[in-house]
Amino acid sequence: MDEHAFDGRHPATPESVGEPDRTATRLRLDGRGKTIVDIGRNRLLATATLFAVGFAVLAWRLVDVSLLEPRRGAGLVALAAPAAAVVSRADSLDRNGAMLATSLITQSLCADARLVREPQRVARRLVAVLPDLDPDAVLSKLSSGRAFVWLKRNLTPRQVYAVNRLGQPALAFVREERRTYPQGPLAAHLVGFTGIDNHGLGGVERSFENRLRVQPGVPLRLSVDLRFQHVLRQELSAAMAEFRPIGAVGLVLDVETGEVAAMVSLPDFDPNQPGVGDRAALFNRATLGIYEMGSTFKTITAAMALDMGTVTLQDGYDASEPLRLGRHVIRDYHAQARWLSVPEIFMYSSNIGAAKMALGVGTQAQIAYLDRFGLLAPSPIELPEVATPLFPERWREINTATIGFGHGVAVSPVQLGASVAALVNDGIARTTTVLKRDRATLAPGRPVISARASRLVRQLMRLVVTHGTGRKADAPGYMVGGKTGSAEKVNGRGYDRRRLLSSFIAAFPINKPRYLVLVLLDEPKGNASTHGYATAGWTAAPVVGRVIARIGPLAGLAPVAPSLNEPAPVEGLSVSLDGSEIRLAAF
Amino acid sequence: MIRRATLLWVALLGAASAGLYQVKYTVQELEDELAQQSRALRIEQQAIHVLRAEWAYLNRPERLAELADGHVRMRAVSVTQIADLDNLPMRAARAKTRDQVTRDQVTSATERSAGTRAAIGRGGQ
Repeated sequence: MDEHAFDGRHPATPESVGEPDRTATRLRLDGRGKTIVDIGRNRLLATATLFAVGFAVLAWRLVDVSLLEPRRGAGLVALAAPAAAVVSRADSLDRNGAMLATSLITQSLCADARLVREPQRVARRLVAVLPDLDPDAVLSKLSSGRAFVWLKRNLTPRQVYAVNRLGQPALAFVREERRTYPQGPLAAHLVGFTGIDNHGLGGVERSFENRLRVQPGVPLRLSVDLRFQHVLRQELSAAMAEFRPIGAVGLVLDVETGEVAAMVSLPDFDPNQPGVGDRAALFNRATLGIYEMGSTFKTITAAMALDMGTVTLQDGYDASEPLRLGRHVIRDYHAQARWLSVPEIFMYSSNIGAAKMALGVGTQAQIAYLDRFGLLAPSPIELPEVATPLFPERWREINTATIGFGHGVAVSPVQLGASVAALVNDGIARTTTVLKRDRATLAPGRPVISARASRLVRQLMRLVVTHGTGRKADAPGYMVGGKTGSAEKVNGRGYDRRRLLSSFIAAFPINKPRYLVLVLLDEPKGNASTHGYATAGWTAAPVVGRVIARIGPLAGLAPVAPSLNEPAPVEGLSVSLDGSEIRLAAF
Repeated sequence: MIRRATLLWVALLGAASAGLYQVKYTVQELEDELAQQSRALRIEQQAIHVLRAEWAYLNRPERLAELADGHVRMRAVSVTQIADLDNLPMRAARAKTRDQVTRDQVTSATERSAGTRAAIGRGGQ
């Protein structure tokens, strides 16, 4: 077979190997030889075809890679560029992009004690440039003979320069990161803080620990608006100075989205130095503090009664005598001692009326409503410091009555804020969040009461500000509606008349609420300007009024002229107050 | 015939080697440059990062308020100073006094706001 194949190819010149046609004309073979040559040719052809296909694929791939794949080029550029994240923990920003927390690269000073020739002299010179170091500690570290000793963490660039100027080969720097909060104490409880190893120990820093580490290049957008936060903190600080309460809470919620626009708990701390100062300042009263809210809870009671239809605004209850339930007696603070309509119960904050209203709703329905409003479970807010509310294990009639006016259930301010936000938002509840939400892709809310009942509640809240206990909360042009609450604090076995928890919960503009503002002062002291009163109408309500007057324009809400608060209601509902007719705000 | 083809291949081979050599060194040079630029970029990014933190620190609302108090003679906007462009008075209103005009603006602004024609009845507080 080999021999025949050789015969067949012999006459072909090297040039003509690839040209089977010419070979074919010169050769004349037949029989067995011809068959073998044909087989050979076919095999060559097959091999050549395979190679041709292979090269074609390679050529096409070359064109493809170099010319037709623009994405690949971009990928290469991205690959060549340094990583976007400069540090290993993401920044936190407020809703407008102002920085709340960031990590800065710092240098920490360490030493190789084996290389120190004259520990005395080095220690002396080092302490001269870093005066806050302890000379004895430095000396003992430098003479320890160990290969690695820490001298000082997180030096400023100026200190690094000064140490480098000493020219000591034993001293070295280690690159470290340090969490920094440019806004200082402004949003301390919300933003949280970290420990020396940059692990979150509180607030957002702790609850979003993983997120901040996994995507260090993508800043975390919080829902808080720094301007609102500043206004709220400033007004609360002024109230702290004026009424000397032991603590204060301020909360601004976006009613339509459930976002926390501002949250202040005083006293607060500087997250840059969380260990300095009173440890109690780390306590976030807005989420971790639970309080028996008192009269602000009447909003809740009125909402459930109006939603169930057990009362209308024309109905009322007899509040002429204290309400006796077993051995308990419920009295009124602003006693009117007569029959009161529902609007009057609300605006004079009658405990007797609210208790009767709650009894009218019934224990089971009250529990169901409170549960629906989210007052019986911890707030879903994404902060680690969240309190579980307190409520009676055995819910008796007396509990139903006292809870009607806000005693017997202890909830956190953020819970109360979120539930009232739902009541004024046409009855639609939104999950409270500290992260920025996109209004366009808002998840549908959860209806908790009817839109009609929500409107009635808003009318009642407006009435409190125009005619009732909350007049000082009015901010002209912003149609404030709200409810005061002055709860006596528990003292041993009973309630203490002198120690009050004064709060005011407001929504504005009340015809179509955008924001809910809650201010709570823990044990304010009355002064001359309040005629000695420490009740909410004198202490918390003015703070709310000032906050709303300042954040209203910031929120871009067009003010309504003050004249609108005067007559000309379109569909105002007439109610009887103090024997004469007045009309409720209509919207 | 043979010679010419061989020469051609040799020439091609030579050209290819020279080209490869050239490209390889150019690439190496570019890679060095890239590394250098990346380093520089990194340093700039770090500087920007620090500057942004400083910017945030200097723009604390508290500090801005303090500076504004000291250097700018501006006060908080009052509600009566806000009006829509649509609510500017017509030409005829020019004759009126300034106070009158302002009051009219506010009133017409309120009349316009849909759904807010709400009010409370008898007697203010």
